[in-house]
Amino acid sequence: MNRSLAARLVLLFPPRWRERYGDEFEDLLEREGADVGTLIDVIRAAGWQRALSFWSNGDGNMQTYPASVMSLARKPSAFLPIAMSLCALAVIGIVALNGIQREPDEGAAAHIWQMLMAGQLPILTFFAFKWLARDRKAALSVLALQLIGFGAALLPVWLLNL
Amino acid sequence: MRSTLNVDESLKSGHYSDPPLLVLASLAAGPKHGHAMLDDIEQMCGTRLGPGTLYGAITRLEQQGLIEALPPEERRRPYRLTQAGRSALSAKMATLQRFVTIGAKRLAIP
Repeated sequence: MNRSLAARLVLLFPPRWRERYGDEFEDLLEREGADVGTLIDVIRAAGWQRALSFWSNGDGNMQTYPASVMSLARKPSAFLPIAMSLCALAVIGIVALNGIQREPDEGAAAHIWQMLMAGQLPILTFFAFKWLARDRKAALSVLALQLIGFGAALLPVWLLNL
Repeated sequence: MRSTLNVDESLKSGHYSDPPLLVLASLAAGPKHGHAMLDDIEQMCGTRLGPGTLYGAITRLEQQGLIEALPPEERRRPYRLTQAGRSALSAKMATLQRFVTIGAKRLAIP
């Protein structure tokens, strides 16, 4: 492979990876053929390293996306809102299975659902304040999951006009 | 990440491809730089790893402390197994040995 192509391929990798492995990798590419299989292999590896780099912390340690998000997701303030959304969804499921009855008072199920939904908000706020500053990318991923859960518990109420 | 297509191809061709294990096995014979590893692995099991695949494995193994870099020789940098790498390779080889023994017995291969 010619030097110019090798240098361009190395540029596909993230800067931190290039600092560490760039020279030796470029040397290896120059010794290898430039067939389609090699090019695809290098592009795929660069994409993978970019993905790892995107989800790594800024402390210089490469940390893979699943490890970071999963460790954060074990924190009570991360999984409690999701669990509460699932419970709220289960309450709606039970009400829907038993038939929707309109009552003058909202009923116990409605109160439980409201408590579960409202109770999440302070936890969500606490989680966002605490973790967005420390590990923004992982925190955003968990927040996205929490908001999807919140939306999933909210949507049937709107759809079923409860 | 390996596709089903690659698995099918490697099954048909009889080639074995587990890049981190192949790198560890190659370095068990002594320190090597990337190009020497590719040649050695090809000789060992008929699989020529792509350069990206090789360096993906090297990156991961070095982060896990299973291999370590030696001072560069011009632009090439040799790597060698660490003690943890040697232990990991031995454990994996013991598992593979059991697997091969049982598999060969089932296929009635002497």
